[in-house]
Amino acid sequence: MNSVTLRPIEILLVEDSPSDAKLIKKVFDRATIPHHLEQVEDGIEALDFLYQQGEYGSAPRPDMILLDLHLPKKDGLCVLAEIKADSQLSKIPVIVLTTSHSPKDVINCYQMDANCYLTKPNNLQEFKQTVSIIEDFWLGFVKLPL
Amino acid sequence: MIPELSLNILTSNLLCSEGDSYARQTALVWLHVIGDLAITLAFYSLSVMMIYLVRKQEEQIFSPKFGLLSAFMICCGTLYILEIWSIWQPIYWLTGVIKIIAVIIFIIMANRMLPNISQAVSLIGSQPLITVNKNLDRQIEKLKSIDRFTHNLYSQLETRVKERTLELNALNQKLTQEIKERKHVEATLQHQLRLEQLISRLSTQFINLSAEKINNSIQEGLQTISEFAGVDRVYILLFSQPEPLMAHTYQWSNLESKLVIFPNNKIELEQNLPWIMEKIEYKQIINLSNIDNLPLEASKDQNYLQQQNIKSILMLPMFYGGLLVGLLGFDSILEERNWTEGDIQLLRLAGEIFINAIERCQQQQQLILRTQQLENSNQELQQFTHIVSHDLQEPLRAISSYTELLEEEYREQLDAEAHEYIDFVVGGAQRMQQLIQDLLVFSRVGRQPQNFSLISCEELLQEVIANLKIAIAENEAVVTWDHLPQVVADKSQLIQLWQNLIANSLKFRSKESPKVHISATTKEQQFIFCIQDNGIGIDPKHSERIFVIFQRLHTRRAYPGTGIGLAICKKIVELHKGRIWIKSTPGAGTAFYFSLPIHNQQSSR
Repeated sequence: MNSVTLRPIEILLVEDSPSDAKLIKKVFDRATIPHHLEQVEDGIEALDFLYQQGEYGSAPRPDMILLDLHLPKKDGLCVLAEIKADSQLSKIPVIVLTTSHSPKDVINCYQMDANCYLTKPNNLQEFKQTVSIIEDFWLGFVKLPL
Repeated sequence: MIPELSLNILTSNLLCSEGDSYARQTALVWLHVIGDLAITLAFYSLSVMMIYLVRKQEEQIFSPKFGLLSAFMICCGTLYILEIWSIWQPIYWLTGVIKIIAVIIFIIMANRMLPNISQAVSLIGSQPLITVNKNLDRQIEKLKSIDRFTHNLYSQLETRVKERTLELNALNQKLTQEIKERKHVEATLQHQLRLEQLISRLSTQFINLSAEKINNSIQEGLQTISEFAGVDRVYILLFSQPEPLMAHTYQWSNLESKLVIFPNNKIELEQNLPWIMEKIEYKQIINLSNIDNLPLEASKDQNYLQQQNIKSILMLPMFYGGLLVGLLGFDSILEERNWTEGDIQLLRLAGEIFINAIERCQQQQQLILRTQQLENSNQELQQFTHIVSHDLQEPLRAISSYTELLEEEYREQLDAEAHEYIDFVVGGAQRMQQLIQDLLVFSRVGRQPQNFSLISCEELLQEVIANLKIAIAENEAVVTWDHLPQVVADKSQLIQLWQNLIANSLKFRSKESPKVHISATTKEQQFIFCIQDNGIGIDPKHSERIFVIFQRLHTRRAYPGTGIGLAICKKIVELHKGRIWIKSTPGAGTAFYFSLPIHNQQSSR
């Protein structure tokens, strides 16, 4: 187990679908590890949040990003590319959470240094399972950069 | 007689010793002068007469002697002249010298004449002379007959020479004719050879011509054939489909200043050249060495051509695939021209080459266009599948997840029927999700480019079994295989194929625990793979139907599924240029077969 963090883990959820976003939040709410989940709805907002621009001037630096690929305004792959090109942001683990099963998307994401590629589960049970795996592995087991 | 005369002259030599003694007696002097002159004249005339006679008789034997005699007489005559001169002016040295010359001539002559004198003396008797005469007559007669014979021979010879000359002339004429013919043949052959070379050059140039170069190359080609045939203008008119506009007009002329452009419009052309265009439509050649010879009904054509100063015209229809696609022709503008078989041949062959190249390029362009359209539609399809995969799944996920959430969070408030409804909603949404997933796989199989490599089927099968580990364990199935070959295939597609087939065997199992055996044989450059199971089997009447997308033989309750799995298998096998089929008896298991071509690379291993 990781050493108990004093502050809750900051998670940025980049997701345009309100139903998916709510579901993810709902499942994360049941997690045992203290965390704080912020949601943005498109690629531009995501980058503003990360660069603390505009209305996100006081936004916290996330410890983990959950990134959907098919986003309005700026595509998830572009967001991923920008994050990984920035020396500060590139340290943040990015978990791609998408509907796409396309092998092309999988390859593209890993080539752009995504830390993990997950497809969105089809039902509640699987959703719960997926979130609990993220929680156990990424938030509990993995040593993250400070 | 002659020697006597010469003696006389010598003896009567006028001695000058008494010269002066009678010079004073005038009568005497004149007597001497006249006498001497007369004698001189006598000598001279005698000698002239003798020379004349001798010449006339052409007596070769006596001529030198008579020559000498004449010379002697001239000397004597001269002496008498000098005698007259000496009466007043004595020149005795000269007369002396001439006398000596006369004596020398006489001595030579006497010397030569001695044998003749004896002959002459012997001839004096008349009898011998008569005999001699007779002999001579006989000889003359003989000579005459010889002469006649000779003459005869000569005339015969002349006739023969004439005949021979005639024969030779005839032969000569024949030879000249032959040489002429041979030259003509040679010229024809030479022309034919040059034509063939030209055609072969054009063919080579046009055979692989790209579409961008076609217009320039045809222009150059027209110039080449125009120069070869020596015509003033050559042109190609292509009719477009649909009419009336001309698809393209090419022309080349050596008379830049008199360049005439044909109308770029078939209707206009038909109006101006109705007679000619009708013939062309009926696939006839227009061969006119003189425009003036056009028939009366072609007066419109005649006017139009005359306006353009065209004197002779040769026009051929062009065909492609049996259809009239245009025409090409030669014009003679500067002078009338009789079109030869060679001109027609050249036009026809060049036309064939041009039209083939033009049509090929048009087809090429159409192909490029078609490919572009296909690429576009493929792009659209990709976009469509993307929409299906993302935008269609999201609402489905919302339906199923939130229905489950509803069930979870409001469990106490719902009755049994409400729970059943919820189950239907969730089940329906999940089936639809599965359907979408399978459809995506199916469309991806045909769309994505194949990545061929040499694959070991045994290694591949182990991977497939690992993927199906749970299903195999759940069914307590046994999967076995013989030695399997290496194949050239797309690995991910081949995994999908094996996986679908083995999963199919597990799914349609009988009450016995499933046994799946995989084997391969070789037949006619193909590997035939067989997946034999001990499942429920399939009625042979359905053996085609099972490979059609969405076709199901069982209820969803008995065997869940979307009916896409085997359609995917068929698609994969066909993309590998193989075939898939089954052999089955209901209740006694099923054998799935599929073939894959053996690549040369493999057979050499």
